[in-house]
Amino acid sequence: MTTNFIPSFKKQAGDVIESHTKDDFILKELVPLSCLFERNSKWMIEIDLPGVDKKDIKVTVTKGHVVVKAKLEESYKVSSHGHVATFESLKKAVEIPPHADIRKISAKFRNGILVITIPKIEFGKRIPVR
Amino acid sequence: MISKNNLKSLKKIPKEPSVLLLGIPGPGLIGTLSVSYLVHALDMEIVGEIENLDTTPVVFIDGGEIFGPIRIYRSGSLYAVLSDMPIDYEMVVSFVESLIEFAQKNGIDMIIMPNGIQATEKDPNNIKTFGLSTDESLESIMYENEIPKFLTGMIAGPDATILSRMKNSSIPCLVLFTQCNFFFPDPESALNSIKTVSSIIKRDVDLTEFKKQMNYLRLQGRQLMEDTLNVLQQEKEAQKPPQIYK
Repeated sequence: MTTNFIPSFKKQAGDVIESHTKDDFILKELVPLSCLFERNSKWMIEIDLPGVDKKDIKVTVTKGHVVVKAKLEESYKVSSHGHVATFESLKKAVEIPPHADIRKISAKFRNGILVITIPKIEFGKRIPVR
Repeated sequence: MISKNNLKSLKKIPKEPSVLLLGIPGPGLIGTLSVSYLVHALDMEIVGEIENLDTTPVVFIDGGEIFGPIRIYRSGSLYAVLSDMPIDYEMVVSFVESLIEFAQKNGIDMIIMPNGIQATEKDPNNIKTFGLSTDESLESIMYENEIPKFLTGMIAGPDATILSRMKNSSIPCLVLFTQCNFFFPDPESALNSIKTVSSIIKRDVDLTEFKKQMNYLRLQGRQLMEDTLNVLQQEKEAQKPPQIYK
């Protein structure tokens, strides 16, 4: 990805994004934004994956984490203090929330956002209502 | 003999209204993305900044000059105030007072503030922008530009402070709430916001470059989005935005 408009935006916002790019540089992969929502009987994790094709997304469940890795269609370049770094992929490991039924995890990708749905394990003893 | 000219019933030439665009980070980074692009596309020049010596955590150096994170741009009768950092409770009052003071000193007729509003199910083909004005005089602008009125809802955080201060000032303000993804930078919705603003200010804005950069902007805006949500999260405990993973 290259741009003509970005330099003016970058000049304005570049230093603010520095701490996030530090994570990128340490991990050598871009770290996407994500959110966790609790919806009644399920957890939903949304991960922002711009510039990615569905076929290039890999979702794996490891011990306690959902790991998402995605290849960018176009490489992303970041210049900082005269150095240019090129990133080809995004990666994020999200801790699985409590009481999640990992056998029933599902994922959907729409408009560049990956939505991972994890149903909650149902607990408790049913009490009959008389 | 030289004949004498007479001026007869000369109509007053209407003055182009002075408009100030206000772009601050908020839901979906709509304000920042749209005003930032308008500044670029309309070739606006930096003319000043709003300085807060107590809370400015970052400065920008451009061509050897030091600029703060809240800068003022101008192109003719159009002004823009653009902030690269979220406006938190600590600084919002002094920020809005400085803004009103600047507007009054420079004869600003109206402030337009593009902003975002959460859409649970956003239809990319039908993104709506709602208008909320602090003065009745701006309702005709909403009508002319087919902007539906923001009728019911709640606005919290710094935006609420900005709105209430504006309401009690002499400068009319129109806030444009565009449906967006609250938690991620949303250039798709910002594009709609740019179209609405350009229609109000009657300036043609070429959107080609913006459309090309949408994915880039989403990646580039990650940290600013996270900082903005952290500010909103502190202030809107009652609404409980979702936990953001680091």
